[in-house]
Amino acid sequence: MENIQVPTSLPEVEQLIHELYKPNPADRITHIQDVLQRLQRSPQGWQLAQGLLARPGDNIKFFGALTIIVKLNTERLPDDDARSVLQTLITWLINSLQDGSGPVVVRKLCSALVTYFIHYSHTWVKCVRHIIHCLDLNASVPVDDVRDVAPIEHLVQALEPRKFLAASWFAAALAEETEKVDTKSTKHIGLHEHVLGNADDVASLMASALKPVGGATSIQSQKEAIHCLQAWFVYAQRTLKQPLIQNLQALVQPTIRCLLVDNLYEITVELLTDTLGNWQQFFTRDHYDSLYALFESPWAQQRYHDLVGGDFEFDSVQFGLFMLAFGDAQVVEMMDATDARAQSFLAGLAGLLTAQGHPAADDKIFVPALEFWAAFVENLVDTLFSKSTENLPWGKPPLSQVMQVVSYSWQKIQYPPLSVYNSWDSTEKAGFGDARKDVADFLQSVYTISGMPLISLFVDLVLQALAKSAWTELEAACFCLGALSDCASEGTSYDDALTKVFGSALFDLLRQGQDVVPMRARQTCLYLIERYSDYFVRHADFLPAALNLLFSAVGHRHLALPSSKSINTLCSSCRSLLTSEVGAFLEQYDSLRSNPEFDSLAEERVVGAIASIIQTIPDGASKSNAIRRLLILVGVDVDNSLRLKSSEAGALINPDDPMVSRAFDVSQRPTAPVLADDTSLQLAIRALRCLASIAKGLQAPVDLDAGDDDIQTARNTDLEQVHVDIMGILMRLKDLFSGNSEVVDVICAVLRAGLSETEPGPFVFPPLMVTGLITSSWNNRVATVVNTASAFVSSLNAGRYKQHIAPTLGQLLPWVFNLLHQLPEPESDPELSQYGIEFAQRVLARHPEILMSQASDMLEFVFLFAIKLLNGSEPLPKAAATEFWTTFITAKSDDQNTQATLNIAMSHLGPQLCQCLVQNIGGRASRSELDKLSDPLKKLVVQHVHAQKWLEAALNDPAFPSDKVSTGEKALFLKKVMSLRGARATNQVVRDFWLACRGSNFTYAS
Amino acid sequence: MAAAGQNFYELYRRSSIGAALTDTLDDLITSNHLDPQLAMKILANFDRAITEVLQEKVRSRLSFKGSLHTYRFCDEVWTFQLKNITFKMENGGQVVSANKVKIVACTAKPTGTT
Repeated sequence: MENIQVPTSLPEVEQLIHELYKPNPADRITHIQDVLQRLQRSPQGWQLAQGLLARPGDNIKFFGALTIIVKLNTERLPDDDARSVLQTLITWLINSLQDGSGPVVVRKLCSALVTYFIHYSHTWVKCVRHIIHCLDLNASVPVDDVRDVAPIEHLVQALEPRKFLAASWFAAALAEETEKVDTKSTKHIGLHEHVLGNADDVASLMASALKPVGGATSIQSQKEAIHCLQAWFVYAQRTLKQPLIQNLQALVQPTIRCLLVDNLYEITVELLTDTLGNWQQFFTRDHYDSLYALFESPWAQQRYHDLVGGDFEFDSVQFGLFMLAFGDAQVVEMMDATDARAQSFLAGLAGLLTAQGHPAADDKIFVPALEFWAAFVENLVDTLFSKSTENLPWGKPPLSQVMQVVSYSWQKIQYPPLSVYNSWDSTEKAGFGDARKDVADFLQSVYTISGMPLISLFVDLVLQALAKSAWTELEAACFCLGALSDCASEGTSYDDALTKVFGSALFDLLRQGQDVVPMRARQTCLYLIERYSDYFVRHADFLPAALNLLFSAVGHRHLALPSSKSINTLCSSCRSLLTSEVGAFLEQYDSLRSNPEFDSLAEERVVGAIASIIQTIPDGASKSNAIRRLLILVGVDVDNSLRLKSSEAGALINPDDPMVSRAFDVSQRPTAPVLADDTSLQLAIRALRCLASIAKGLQAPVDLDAGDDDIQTARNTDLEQVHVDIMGILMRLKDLFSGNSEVVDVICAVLRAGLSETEPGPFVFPPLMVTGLITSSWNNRVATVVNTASAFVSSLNAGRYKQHIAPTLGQLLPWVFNLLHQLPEPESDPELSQYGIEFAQRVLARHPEILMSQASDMLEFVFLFAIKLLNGSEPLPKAAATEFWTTFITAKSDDQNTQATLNIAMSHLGPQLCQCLVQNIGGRASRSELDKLSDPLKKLVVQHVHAQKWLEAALNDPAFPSDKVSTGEKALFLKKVMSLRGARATNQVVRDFWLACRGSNFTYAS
Repeated sequence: MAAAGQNFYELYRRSSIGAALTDTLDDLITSNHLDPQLAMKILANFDRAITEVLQEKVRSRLSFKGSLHTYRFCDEVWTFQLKNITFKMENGGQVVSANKVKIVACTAKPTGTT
């Protein structure tokens, strides 16, 4: 990189500043900035600033003003010198207003003046008055002269527009910058008192600008005054001090009048909306009265009419948001049925939901308006909490308005014609979908007040839509009814209403296909069945019709997902009612398999559903028979997969082949010949996913009493054969496809499904079988298999196979350690390292005698491996290693030999472990790891007599990573840790020490 | 959108995403790519952004049932200690159980903003 010489003259500095603003490579700009910043901070900085401000060019002057700010922020001057800087700054400000400098220079000089005020406010108490006075006289006069000046209103009125702008910019910057200075610190009390001492003058400055006078210059001044007002509102809200608040309150009425001026509308409406939203208490009763009057005026009525009529330009939507913010601020009045004015306004807010167009796609006010109503209903719920909801006056406001909003919302979320919907872009479609979800949330809130009548309302709407074949209305009503299912899930009081829907002609119509009911309405109706699955448990008479409908739809590409989801939920919920029908379900599934449109995810759900019914068959033989029938169907795909895999390399299959239809869903189906190998893999994945779903479906729905741990079940040869069959499938597919990560994941999912079961079952394999599969060879994602092994070992602790723990671990531990041993570096496969150490940690926690009985060289390897992970930078293996060491430190065994081995190991490893912990806590660890790293430290100090000695040695080791802490600080840290004796406060001590070691640059985060 | 000058809680800095951001900022400071002052501003921005995003963009819901063991309301902070809880995700999703759960809830707008 080209070296930049430090400038030695003003023209050279100017040249460098020009260079800074030219397009240049990033590193050159950084370099220039470095050089200029060094100049600014140098003792010659004041002269440099003075020189630059006297030169032409906005960039040069701007940099001069910036240099003043840097000097003021970095140097402390005696008061007399400071006053002289102030006088010069004001002179420059006046000069810049006369020499044609751009606004950027004037604003920067105003910022420099505010910086001066922040540091030397005691020398410039009446800063606003003084600035105005100087601007009026066109000269920098002594600060004390302000005592004798004329009333400030006269001075402000006499200011030229450009000078007025400068005064406004200064006043705005004063609020903005001082607001950032902590208002609660005693150090800054004086500064804020001085700011408040200028409140009168600031208010007078803005009041004079807000007076209605015509002309473009006046508009500009008024805009700046409102901008200034915004900054002072924020400052006042932060400090909450009188008389500032009173001064600002006096400006609200003139501000409201500015709304009526077209050029001031945007900035004014934003100011009022923000303030209403964030600081309702600021407005007085008179202000609210004025705002009510404003909303009733023809001007507001016209704006409202435009908005509701479909004008969604920025200005128009701003008006809607203004109304909503006002409604929010007046929420208590809005809930008062006797306040006619508030109720009239509330009706207007309900009307916002009737704006033309579809939510999100066209209508930009619907979502914010609905948010208001959701909040309003929440407030109503709080108010009505103690009252009975039996006899609420639904016919009167505000409850009648709420029901009106329910009605509007239902109408607004109706889908447009398909051609319109398809013309929307993805954001509009997603926005519309989100608006529907918002309506669902709103209805759930309303339900808290209304209860049953809301369900009845949508039941009636469904029936009315059905009667007149109004499908978009039917869809919306079903969507709303479905949204209330969570609320109505308890009790049977809704069943009569729901029977009207599920006992109507709805199911018959839906079965007649798309020619009768459009796709979207059918999808929503199918979801409705799923949402009310509990109803079908109580009303088994409607179950056949519902399931027939769902099975008739599941083979259809566009209906497969909603119908399969409903089938799964319904079969799972009503499993005991459907036991006798399992044969029919298996036949249905058999026939569906030949449908080329049968989606793979839908198939998983269907087989899972059938499995959940099979789970309830009481008779073991019938159950095994049903499972075998299901497995035979799935086995067809397995056989096809194996056959294709044995084809010669590069063999192709015609896309019309039924096996291709089974292997690929419609959306991914190839149109050209496809490799037999690819087809084989996809078939294997589909079969495995079905197996995983069956395994999940067969899980018992509730945990059975775990007190039967030691019960030995009688040999069940049927079940044993099923185990062999399933394990055979898993083994064969694993041998051929374990290079594919999805195959490995799904095989592990199949194994895991049986681990949580307490009763024997088709997927509750004997431990020997599971161990055999786990320890066989894998070509990919072996870390997932190790993780499954951890879950397997945990399940043995809880289940009936406790006697298998020792032999199982005897095989699994060497297998896991061998995998870790094969890694070139501990962090070369972080996932395997993490799961491997987690496995060891679990064994150590429950069975230390088994872990410690492993070969000594292997144990030594594992301990050193865990030390290396603790020293490493991979977060997850490091966290696992931390937990391993925490467990190790506290490990206890009843067996004396094991305990002796643990003690010896600890005495050998303790110093090394302490070294690692101290290195991490001394600054090497990431901040987020500190809490985790505190755990072994806390255990160590209470468990081991040598802990203090080991830690002390590690702290004073030459390899300690930080030179920012002294020996004394290290000793103090150790003393604190030892005296806390593992208490929770150790975490904070560790955090503080880590910060001290890292240095002050890292104290930025709390 | 939040108005200028509104305070935001710093509690999300302890979430996994907040901790990851802080670790990254630490790394950048260590390698002299970032000033601590800028890191502080980034964290302040994070406080605002995560509050707004969680409020406006996250639409997932869950319901839970359990026994309320203890509750308190102190300094505008609600604390609930629950026992034997079952969380049910939306749309019939996963069910998660826990023996003990502590819920800490703060008012949406920190003190000093209204």
